[in-house]
Amino acid sequence: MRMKRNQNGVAVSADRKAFNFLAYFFIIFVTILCLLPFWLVVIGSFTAESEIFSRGYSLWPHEFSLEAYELAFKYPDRVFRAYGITVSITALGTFLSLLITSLCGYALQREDFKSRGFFTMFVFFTMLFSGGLVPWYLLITNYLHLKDTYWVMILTQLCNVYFVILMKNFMKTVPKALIEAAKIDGAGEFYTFFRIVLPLVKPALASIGMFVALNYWNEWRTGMLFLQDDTLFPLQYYLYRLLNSVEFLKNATAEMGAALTSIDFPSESLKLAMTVIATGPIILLYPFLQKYFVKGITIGAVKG
Amino acid sequence: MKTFTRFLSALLIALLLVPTALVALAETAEPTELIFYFLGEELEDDKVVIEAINEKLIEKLNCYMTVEYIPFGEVNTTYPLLFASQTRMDAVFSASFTGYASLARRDAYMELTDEMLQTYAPLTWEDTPDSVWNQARVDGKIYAIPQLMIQNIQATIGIRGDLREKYDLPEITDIESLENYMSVISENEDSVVPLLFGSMWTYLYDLLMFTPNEWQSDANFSQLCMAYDITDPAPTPFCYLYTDEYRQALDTVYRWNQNGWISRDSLSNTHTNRENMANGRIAVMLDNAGTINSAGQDLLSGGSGAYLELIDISGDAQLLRYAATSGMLSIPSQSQHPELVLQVVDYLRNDKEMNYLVERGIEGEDAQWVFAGELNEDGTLNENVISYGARSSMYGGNWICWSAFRNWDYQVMESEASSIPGYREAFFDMDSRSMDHIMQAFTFDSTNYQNELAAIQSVYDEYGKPLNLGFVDPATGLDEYIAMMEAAGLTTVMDAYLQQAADYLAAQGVSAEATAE
Amino acid sequence: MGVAKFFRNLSYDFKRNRALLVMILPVVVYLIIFSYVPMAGAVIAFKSYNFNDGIFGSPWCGLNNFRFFFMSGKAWQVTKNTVLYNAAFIVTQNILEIAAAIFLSEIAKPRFKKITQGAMFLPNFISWVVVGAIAYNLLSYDFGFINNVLTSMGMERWDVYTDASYWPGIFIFLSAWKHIGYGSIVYLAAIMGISSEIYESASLDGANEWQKIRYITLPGIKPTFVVLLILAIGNIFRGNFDMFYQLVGTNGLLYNATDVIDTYVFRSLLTTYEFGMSTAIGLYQSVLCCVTLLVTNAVIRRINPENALY
Repeated sequence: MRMKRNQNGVAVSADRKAFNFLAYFFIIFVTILCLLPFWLVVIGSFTAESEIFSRGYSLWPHEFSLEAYELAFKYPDRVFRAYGITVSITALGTFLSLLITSLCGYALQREDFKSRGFFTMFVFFTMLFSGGLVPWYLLITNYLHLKDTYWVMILTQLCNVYFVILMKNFMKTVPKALIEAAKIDGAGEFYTFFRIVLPLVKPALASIGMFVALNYWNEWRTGMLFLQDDTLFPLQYYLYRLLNSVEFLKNATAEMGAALTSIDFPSESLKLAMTVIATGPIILLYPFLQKYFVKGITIGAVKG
Repeated sequence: MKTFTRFLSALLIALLLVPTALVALAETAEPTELIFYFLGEELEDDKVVIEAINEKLIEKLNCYMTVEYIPFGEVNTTYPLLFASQTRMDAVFSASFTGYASLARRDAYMELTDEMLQTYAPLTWEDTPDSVWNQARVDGKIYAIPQLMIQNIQATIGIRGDLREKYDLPEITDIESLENYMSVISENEDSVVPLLFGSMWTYLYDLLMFTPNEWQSDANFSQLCMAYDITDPAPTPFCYLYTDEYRQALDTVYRWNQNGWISRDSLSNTHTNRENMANGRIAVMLDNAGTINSAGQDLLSGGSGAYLELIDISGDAQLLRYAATSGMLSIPSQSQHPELVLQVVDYLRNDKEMNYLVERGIEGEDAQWVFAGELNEDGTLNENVISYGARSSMYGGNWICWSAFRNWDYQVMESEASSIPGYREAFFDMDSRSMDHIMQAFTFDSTNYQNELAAIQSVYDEYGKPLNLGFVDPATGLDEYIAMMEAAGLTTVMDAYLQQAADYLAAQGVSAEATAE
Repeated sequence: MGVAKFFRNLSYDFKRNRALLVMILPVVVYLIIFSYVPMAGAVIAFKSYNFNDGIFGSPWCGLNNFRFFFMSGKAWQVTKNTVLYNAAFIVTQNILEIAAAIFLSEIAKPRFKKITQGAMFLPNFISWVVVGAIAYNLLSYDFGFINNVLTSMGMERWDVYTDASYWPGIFIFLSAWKHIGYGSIVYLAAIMGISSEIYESASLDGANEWQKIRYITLPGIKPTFVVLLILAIGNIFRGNFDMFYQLVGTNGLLYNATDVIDTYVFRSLLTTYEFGMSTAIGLYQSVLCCVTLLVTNAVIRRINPENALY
């Protein structure tokens, strides 16, 4: 039997085969578990509401229907505006957030930074204690006057302490010798940071950036608390409100004098369509980040 | 000198001009903006209708309303925060289920004094009976304008009439025939369960316990399980957990559950009766008459041959009139224009033309009219029927957001054509048996018992609901439930409740002891 | 850490590391405004709030706002549930995420890798509301897909919504399912940080795959693991409200096994509108988290000071 060879032309050993088998098996299994529910969601979103009730979810729609999407896109301009806002919030927010997170994470791990212990605690403490919803709400509405502004969506999410700590940890992997060498060459701190450190931690930037972007993308509670102006609604909040009003319409009972509203509002399939609509564009971002998750590109590349 | 005279004359002219200018200014003064916060959702045509309303408001009161909506799901989050942050609001929806009494006691709403109401909302003041005002009173003070509507909120039964015919079953007249119906359905129909409860399970106990015994529970504090006898003009409230009637009702429900007549999903179901009925999941629904009628219309429009029958088995039991506090309008403490808001309410509520506009939308073929027929002065129906407008479901004026403008003088009633069998008869019959009761105006002051209430609420959810829906054997479950309730402080709160109720009755000039003889 | 030492350090950094101070400035200023200032409002936990007097003007009420939590006899139960669930989540999630990260890093086929990794992110977009709807649709006793299949095969129905014993497993599965894409990325980034030279020289020395994982990859991602662990423990008394609430809702039969502090407090306070009480329980959680964290950090420092947070 011919021996399989990998790219480097090295013979594939038995334990490698076993490993590969396990790896593929595990990954495929997990992928199916993740894909299947999403598939149900996608198909469900194209299924008539009555069928979801009578047959439950299925792998293929028996009665194809676009009613949920028709409802969601009833006002295409509003949906696209919400998309636009979400995209811009996500882009700007992720950029700013990554910037301050990585700056802070970098400084906090520098061993010659004597106050790092204090400031690490200072940062971490906010994760443990908070004043709760009411003071925070009052601060943002009454003192910062951010209610009904575009910036409220950016600012409330700007700094996640969790990511600062994580970033600090990733920054530790940058060889100290490199920073020392840059110093000796007369490079300033910011030059060193942007030109030498950041390129080395691209995988960390990519992964944390992905989280931050997802958080911005999926955020709707900030909208719920602080937005009344519907021209500012980001996508997720727009969809949330839409679902709310559909359920409201559907369950508005004919108390005396009420109109007999139709029951035909597809709230179940709308929930699913919302998921599909909200997932669409951001999932496309993923392949672009992927190149940073290839083993061993960073340190090796610099040293070479 | 010359300059001085010139200056003086200029000054004189200026002084003369100022009042004229002021008068002119007053005439062209910008209309005042009034910000209304409503509970509900903005529907497609709301803006158009509000614009039409505003045109009239500017004409008449030189003000206009801007409406903001608080989604239903945010009653517990956004709603109280609006008060905490002193958000600019001139009027706001309030109801017992938004914590009306509790928020009023913590200064969220402005007190509406009798003088204020008499001066700025005279028609409303005159038109609204004392019994309705009293429902809105918290510690004797009014903080909201309650709705005026004829409404049955009593539990009625809706059953699938086509299935009854299919198995040749007699008409439902009492619990026994209902049980018979459920057992046949449960045995023969695979895809349908008799009953599936969700959030509206309390109708079960209206049917089995409250209405037959002519009791009324305290809807503001349902977790306390307090009730009173509505036939007693000065009743002493009691906790129904300790009564034999409750034990019997529990036994009945437990039997139903064990027989498979109550779906095992009843604790997790989030769909309404109406949804489940329309989708063919249930054969029986316990709900208010209006909702059953809507569900019946859904079935008819489905065209599958399924239809609903509405049955009221309350016989000639005394009933209480609707809860006026289920939809009101309050003026937040921070409002700058309380007088103007009252004037607006008075206008929109009592001017027939305006009330039609608010409640039904704009007249016309393509318009929002949601209109079937109108009640005459004597409560009978004026069959001057108008059909629904093409956009009738695009405007939410008849729904809860606008409830404070509801006026029973202009109320509409479903026409014969849009009523399922039994609906109109039951409606008018129940209305004729409805009365006001002095205890409707009693609100327990829970300020010092918030901890107990929270703890009791959690026991009520965890132990009460499964027991009430027959998932737990009452033989053991009831005692455990009561023990948990007492551990959470039920006895303390109950004592306070009874004391306050007695004080209230004494202040009203009736005393429980005196009439108990 | 004395105050004097803090100022000595700060003045040193002010002279020598001014650029580093500038680097942390945005985060520090942000946290002062958005976290530390509102923290003062936590006094609301000790106040009987009214809208006229606001947070600082309302009268004090001592520990009154904490009472309800301990009165119903459920405090211990829900606290225990919260911690046990979180502990189970930490263990299962980390094992699965590390495994996924290692496997993904070793898989050579780029397209396969892209697709699978992308797929693992999909659960992240399915909100808990939708997960709850799907679960009900699949598991419902009378109408659920699974039960329909079971009965059509002549088997007993699966009574998930009245039997609490299924739920710990369901939640552990769901939380792992939801997080695996997210979590494996962090570990993947950590593996990327390990120099490829180390792997190459190990290969030359004849190390097999398992040995490389055991002696290079796992030690390489240990610092990341420890940080994630510390961060998770910092939140161990906080339950994932959305997950528990959207799946269990108001089903009292399941509370024994599914009620966490956050859901319990939410339900109890639904009708009281008392701001102070929810803040009070937030403080209770914070204090417990803080204590647990101090202990954990001390233990980690004793084992390996490098890995400790501070």
